[in-house]
Amino acid sequence: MRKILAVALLDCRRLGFGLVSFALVAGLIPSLASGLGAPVSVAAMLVGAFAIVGIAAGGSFGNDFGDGRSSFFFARPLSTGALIAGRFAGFLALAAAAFFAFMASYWLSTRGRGVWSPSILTRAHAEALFDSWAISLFFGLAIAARGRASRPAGALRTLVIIPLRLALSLGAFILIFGLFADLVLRAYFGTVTPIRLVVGSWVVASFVASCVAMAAGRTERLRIARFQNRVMIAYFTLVSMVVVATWTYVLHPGSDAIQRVGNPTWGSPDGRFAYVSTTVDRGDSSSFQPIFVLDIASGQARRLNADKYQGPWTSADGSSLVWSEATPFFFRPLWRYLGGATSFRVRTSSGNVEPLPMPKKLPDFFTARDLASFAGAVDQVIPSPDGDVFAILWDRYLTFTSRSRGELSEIDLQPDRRSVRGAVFLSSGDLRAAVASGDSRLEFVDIDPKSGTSKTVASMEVGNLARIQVDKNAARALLTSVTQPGQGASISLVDLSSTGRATRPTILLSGVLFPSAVFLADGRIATTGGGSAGARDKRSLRILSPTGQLVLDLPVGEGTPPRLGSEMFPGVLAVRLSRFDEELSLVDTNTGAIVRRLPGFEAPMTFSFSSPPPPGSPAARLMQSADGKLYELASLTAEPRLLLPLARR
Amino acid sequence: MTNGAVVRVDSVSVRYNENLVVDRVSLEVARGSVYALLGRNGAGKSSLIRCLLGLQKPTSGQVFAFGEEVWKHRARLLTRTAYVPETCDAPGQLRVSDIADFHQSMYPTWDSGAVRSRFARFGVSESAAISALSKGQRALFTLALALGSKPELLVLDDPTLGLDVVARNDFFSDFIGELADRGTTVILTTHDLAGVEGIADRVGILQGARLALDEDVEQLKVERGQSLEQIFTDITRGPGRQS
Repeated sequence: MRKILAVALLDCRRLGFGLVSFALVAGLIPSLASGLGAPVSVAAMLVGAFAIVGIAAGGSFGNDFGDGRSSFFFARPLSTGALIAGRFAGFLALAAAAFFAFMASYWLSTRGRGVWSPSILTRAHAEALFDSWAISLFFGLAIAARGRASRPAGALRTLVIIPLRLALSLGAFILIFGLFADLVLRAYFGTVTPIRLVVGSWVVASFVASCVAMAAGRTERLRIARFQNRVMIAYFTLVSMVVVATWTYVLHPGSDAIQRVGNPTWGSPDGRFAYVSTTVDRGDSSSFQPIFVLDIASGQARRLNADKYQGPWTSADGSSLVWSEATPFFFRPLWRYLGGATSFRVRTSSGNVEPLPMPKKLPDFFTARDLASFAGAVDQVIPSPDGDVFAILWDRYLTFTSRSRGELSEIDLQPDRRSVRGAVFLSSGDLRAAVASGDSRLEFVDIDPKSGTSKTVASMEVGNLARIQVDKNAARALLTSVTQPGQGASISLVDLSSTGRATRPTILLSGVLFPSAVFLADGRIATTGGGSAGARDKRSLRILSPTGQLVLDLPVGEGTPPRLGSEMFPGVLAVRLSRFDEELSLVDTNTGAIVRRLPGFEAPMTFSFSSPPPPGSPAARLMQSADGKLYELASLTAEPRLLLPLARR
Repeated sequence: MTNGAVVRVDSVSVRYNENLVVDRVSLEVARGSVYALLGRNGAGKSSLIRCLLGLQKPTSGQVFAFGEEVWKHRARLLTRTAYVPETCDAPGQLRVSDIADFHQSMYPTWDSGAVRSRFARFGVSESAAISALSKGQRALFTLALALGSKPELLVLDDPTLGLDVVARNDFFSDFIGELADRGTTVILTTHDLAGVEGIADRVGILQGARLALDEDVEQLKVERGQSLEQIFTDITRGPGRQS
């Protein structure tokens, strides 16, 4: 202990005056900055001051190993452990002195109004101190050991081996960094834990490398450098293995890893599959929600390796599926530069998965902006039923590509401030798109993919448009729009069966709260709403004819507005009669009778321009429970069958 | 180890990358004797000295002091050993008294009074910063520190470097002779062959990484009929290896 204190005291004598002086000046900065109108946080300033103390003390320690100076300690009866402990103790004493000098200076500069308490210290201060000390010790030692220790290498060695080693090291580093970045941004975007772990382990490894190098090398610089290298190579090897193993494990969960089923979860248009967003037993659940494709009949679920918000998108008949394959995006620019294929994939009706030809100028990787928002470069890809032509909405463009013919045409939506609100391929091969322009104009247009020319089907003035739905053949549309805040909303029906110019929509509901509507399989329309504004307790569930005539008005009593689900069986509609009651009611759309009540369930969501599964098909009979489970209801009288998560053995 | 040998170097080699600077050197230093290790610049003297003090691990071979392996037991053995490096290794911004205080904590046998009197004798002010001392003062300051622990073994790596002629003569005649008389074992490297001729009991000459000569000085002079300088010149005339 006496020797440790002697080393510590020596360090304090060497650095004390300089660091305390520095801390006194640093303590003045917060009040000076405040006086100049640019406030600086005292705690943040102290973090910076501590970092400087750490750098000075650690650097001084490492630098002592340069040019034979380390013999001052090693030629004395002082063990390496006592030397390190003494230097660390000295560093802590210097940090304490700097802290008191800083706070005293701050307190005096604020004429006693500043906070003068050790409680200002947080974990950030401890990290700043130790990290800066350990890292500057490592680099100070490395510089001292390598200063003049390395001898000139031979020409062959210089020309071949060193660049080769550098290239391999750089390549390995980029590979591991890329996988780590991929892991963090996909599975741990909402937490800093992995970054903190890696940085923390690097600091600890650097410290361990310094200690090992000092103990093994003492005054021999070549040996110090060699042992520093060995420890760091061992560390990087270990980290690489951990990163690769974690990347593989976390980002590639099997169906047995599913813990909860979340949203969006929806059924395929052909009624066979469910696309299920899940929470799994790994990664950060707020940022990592892998999608599984569930074959409902067999109960087999397979993960679709898709980028978040980049699919899957299905054709209207469900035969084609498009998504962006979640390859490590850090390498995508390089991959594309090397002539690699796009990350977008299409699964055709034959089951083959092939790269999807994308617009040539589309950046096939996340930009920095995309990384921040986690939205991709592509807004949507709409496959044609034959799986050959694709409409790609991205940035300001609508581009058509063909697997057999390449890029077909491109429409720039920017000039008229147009935006495509939804689109679906017709059986004719044209794309029927709802295009909004200006503040209130909506047009339905049919676009020829080959030429990019379009003809107007219907155009109208609408209010604040919230939702557009089309029926199975895109021959009718339901528009949900908000008129005035507090005045409720309206739902109108638009006939798209004939080419028209100015169109007047048929108003089905107006001035109601939380209205919703769906097309039923037989062409009828179901609507709900919370009653007119000012009469919130009056609710309705109505069945209308295909042209919007009232067929059935079902009183559902008082309460919050109902919410429509899907048509689970032919003529049987799933409805949540109260938004806050966790109960799904199955309503006979011909009689208005509630044929079954299912407490604790809700129906999966439907999409505006996506065909719902046929009533009675497995995908139409899906239900989600409030506790995150996915069920299938085989018949009106059957017990719900659990599909996901898989039962634990 | 031969009876009475304080230091035994057993087939020690030192290699820096591809460069072999000490090649299987073996030697012994008897208790109370003065051993002069000679060699041209880069002959490997300093590397061997560092191995001898446990500052550096030999590439192969072992060094023993007081019967114990030096690399493994360095800290303990150094309580009985003092070292005077070629250049002063104390941090320059510290004062002389700071370094003396530090040494006092390191050595149980530290004699503060003797150290102070040597500082006074050498004209070294205790309040002076190390960096403010002249080259000669730094050498004497280092020597005073080394003697302060009353070592049984004193290792000096070219200690007269930077001293003027008078100080150099004093150094050899007074200090080394006095130490030897007190039974202190001394190992030193130097280029001052005339200085060591009168005080060294045994001499070793490193040439081409090997120990080309290891003999008693008196016996050597009788056998060869030459001065130490002439013998050294004859042996080291060939090109030495660079360390």
